[in-house]
Amino acid sequence: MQISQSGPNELTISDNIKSIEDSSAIKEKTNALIKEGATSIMLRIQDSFSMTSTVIGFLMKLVNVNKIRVSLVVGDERLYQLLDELSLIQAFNVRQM
Amino acid sequence: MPINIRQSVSFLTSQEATASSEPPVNPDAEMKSLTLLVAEDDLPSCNMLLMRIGGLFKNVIAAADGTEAFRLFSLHTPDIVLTDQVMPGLTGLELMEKIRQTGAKTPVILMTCADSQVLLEAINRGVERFIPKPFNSELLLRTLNGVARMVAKERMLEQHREQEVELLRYRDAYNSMQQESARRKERHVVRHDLRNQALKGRGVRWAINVAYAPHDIMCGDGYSVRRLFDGRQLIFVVDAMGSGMSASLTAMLTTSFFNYQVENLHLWETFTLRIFLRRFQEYLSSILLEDEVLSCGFFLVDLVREEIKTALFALPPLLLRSVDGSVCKVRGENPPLGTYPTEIKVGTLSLTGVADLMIMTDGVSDALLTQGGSYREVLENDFRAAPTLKALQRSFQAKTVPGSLDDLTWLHLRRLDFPHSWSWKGTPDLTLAGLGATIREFLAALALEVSLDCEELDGVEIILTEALTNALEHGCLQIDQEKKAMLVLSGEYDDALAEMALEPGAEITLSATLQRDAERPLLIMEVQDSGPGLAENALKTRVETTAVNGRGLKMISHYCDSLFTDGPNGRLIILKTLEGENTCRFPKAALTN
Repeated sequence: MQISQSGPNELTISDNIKSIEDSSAIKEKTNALIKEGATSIMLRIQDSFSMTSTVIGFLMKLVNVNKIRVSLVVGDERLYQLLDELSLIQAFNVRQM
Repeated sequence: MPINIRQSVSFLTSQEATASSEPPVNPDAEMKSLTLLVAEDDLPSCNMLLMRIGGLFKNVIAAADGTEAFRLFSLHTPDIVLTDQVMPGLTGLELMEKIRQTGAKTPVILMTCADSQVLLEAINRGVERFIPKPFNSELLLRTLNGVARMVAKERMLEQHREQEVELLRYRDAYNSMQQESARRKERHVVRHDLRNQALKGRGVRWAINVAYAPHDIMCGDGYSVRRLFDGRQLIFVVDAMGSGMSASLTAMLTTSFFNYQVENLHLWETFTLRIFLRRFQEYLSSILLEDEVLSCGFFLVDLVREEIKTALFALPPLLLRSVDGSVCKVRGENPPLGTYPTEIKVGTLSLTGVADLMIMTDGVSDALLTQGGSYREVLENDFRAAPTLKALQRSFQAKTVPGSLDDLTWLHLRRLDFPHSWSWKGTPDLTLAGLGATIREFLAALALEVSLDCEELDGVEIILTEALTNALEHGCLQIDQEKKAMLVLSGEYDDALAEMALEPGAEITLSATLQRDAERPLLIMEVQDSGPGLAENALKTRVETTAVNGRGLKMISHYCDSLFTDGPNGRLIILKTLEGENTCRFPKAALTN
């Protein structure tokens, strides 16, 4: 998985989110944006069909505790369905590419 | 100059009108509930009109010109409009046009001289009635009566329509409530005591998976998988004749009776399948109609002796696969059960050398193929290829017409330990980095053994990421759900995982085997930790949408075919069919690391 900053509050992720290292990288990059003062975060997940529960838990914490507006733009229908199955579409403002 | 009659007689109530000197009239009762708007610019004519008709309506509103009439119409939405044609501001027809533009269908009665051009235009524009000027009182009353009747009738129809819609809404809500209750009861009656549990046999473990997909809320299929007091398992699968409520009642009654018998077996002096069946048959004869029959199957499973006693009554043939991959059909011994006593034949199936056994109701075998024909034509081949129930269901869904016409029940007994051709074992360092390294080692070894595409490999990786993280948190560090939530919420989770002291003797083992009894390989991964194991309800617990943790097992379930636990320590057994045909694109660097 690769993750890079693609805007002031935006991170772009390519390849599948699948490993412990992927989860850590997403948390690290997102926390860095928040430290710089971001109050909203957009994750552009280009082609991953999966997401780890660690990342989901981390994003839930951002939304509910840190009051950060999290938005996900997902490119793979399967990831959208997974998030829908977990009732997270609204919480993470998920949109399809 | 417009005559301002609105100020003096804009509303003439029935009491005021009755007090007038005009002779009484006999209006229809409908008129008394309506509001009339009168548009007339000629004051004497207007007063005359109001004298004649004012008391007949609930309210009468008068306007001195067309513009004023439209304003009052918008304000009071009268039931009928009686308008002069020639007026300042708007003519009668123009007034009607503006009223129609609002979407209102209020009937308009036009008072006009016999100008054929105006009459023609009025007809074309949909004027309800005409009153020739100068007006005749009797004709005026008759016309108003007629239109009032029409309005009242329309209003009554509308009221009925609304009542019907309301009734339908109520019935719908009531039916939904009833159906939801029925569904809840159905789920309560069907039982699976051994869901997600590995079962110990003679040196090997087994597991039972069930897929139950009712076509309707009230289902003609039923099942029950029960653990007996002596450690054996007794399984019941039923497919009641017909469909709808009648079949559902039979399915639920027989399943309930089966459960009742099982729960009281410890009170029996001797338990044999034959006695159990005789009692079942007696019960059945009391609930079936004379022309009804029942397809069902009873399976008394003894994994220690590696045998199943079967009593099959017109169920589709069972599919049995040996560990060498050969598949055979096991046909039933008995016709369907009816109200009459019959001799019951009980068969015995040996499980020695058996890899798995598939039991289905006829909804599966009779399902229509999209290419024509029924699924039974390809079922055996699909079973040959699919090592798990989920893999077979995927083939079924891909080949059959969507939206099954019947209830579908599948029951799969699977061996978990094989004489295997490939196995792998690793013991990771108990850090997040250590877990990641072990997963990569395993994936590299797997990729050398079997051709996988990248997505499949990623699917396996996400399963192991979740399973090993779960083993570290809950098994080795004894972090329970509550504590984990606290750590995530405070942002201390990562540090805590790195700093917390491990429990004495903490260890995680990842082992895996590749089974090739089916055409598609089956990967069985086992994650064992030194912790106390999962709580009994861990796989059933619903996670709150806002929760920051508790989704790990759900994610594993999502990406694998099936998942079982095996105590006494934490042990997850995860099955995944490998479907990929393409060459692995696993990075070379990872293979050599």
